[in-house]
Amino acid sequence: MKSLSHAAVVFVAVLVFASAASACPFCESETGQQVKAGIFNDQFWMNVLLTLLPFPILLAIVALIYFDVSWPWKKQEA
Amino acid sequence: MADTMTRRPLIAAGTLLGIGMGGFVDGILFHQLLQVHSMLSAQVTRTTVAGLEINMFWDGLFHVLTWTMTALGLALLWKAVQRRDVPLSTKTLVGSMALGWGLFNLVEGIIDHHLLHIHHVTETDNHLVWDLAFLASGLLLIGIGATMISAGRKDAIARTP
Repeated sequence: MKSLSHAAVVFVAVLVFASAASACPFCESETGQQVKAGIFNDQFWMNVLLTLLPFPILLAIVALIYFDVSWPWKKQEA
Repeated sequence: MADTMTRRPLIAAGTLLGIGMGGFVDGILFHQLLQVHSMLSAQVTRTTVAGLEINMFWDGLFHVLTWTMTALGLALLWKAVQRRDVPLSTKTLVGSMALGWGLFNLVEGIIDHHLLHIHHVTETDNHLVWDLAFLASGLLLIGIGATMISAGRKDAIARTP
């Protein structure tokens, strides 16, 4: 019953956002077409990678702190 | 009281919160209020409406990531405060947040400004000065954070059973 209500909420949300997106008055304008072409082009996935790149590195640093990963030479000293 | 205390969950949570909030400072201050750069402003011009909107899209993706880091930090903080073996130290938490903010400035600065050149702090001819100042601010924040974390070592607020 609970999962059914969750599914209903998701379904309604998808409907609401889909109708808003399809009603977008700017998307079909000349500028809108330029924007679309400037985002969803051959460089799209490369730009996604470039934008995301610092975050896995930062998460790895936090993981080192959280899991108490010691440097090999520190282990030898201990 | 637990036999062995550990501050690592609190430091990790604070660091993640600092990374997320440091990212928001960058996005809100530099991208939106001062408008000195955007995510791909060294590659896509911001002098046209289309160029601005394209950069706005990539700024949005950047903010999705900073929001995610902040949310993960809150989740870790919530788990940390529920543990009896984690001392609640304000100095440690604030120091960890400064550490996270500094790490954000340092890592993002090195990767985006100096290695990939997808944007600079200012898109001007003398951007190198500002880019280096951004890295220096990261190192300064890391130093402040490390000092505060060290100062909080003896903080151990007794947890009520």
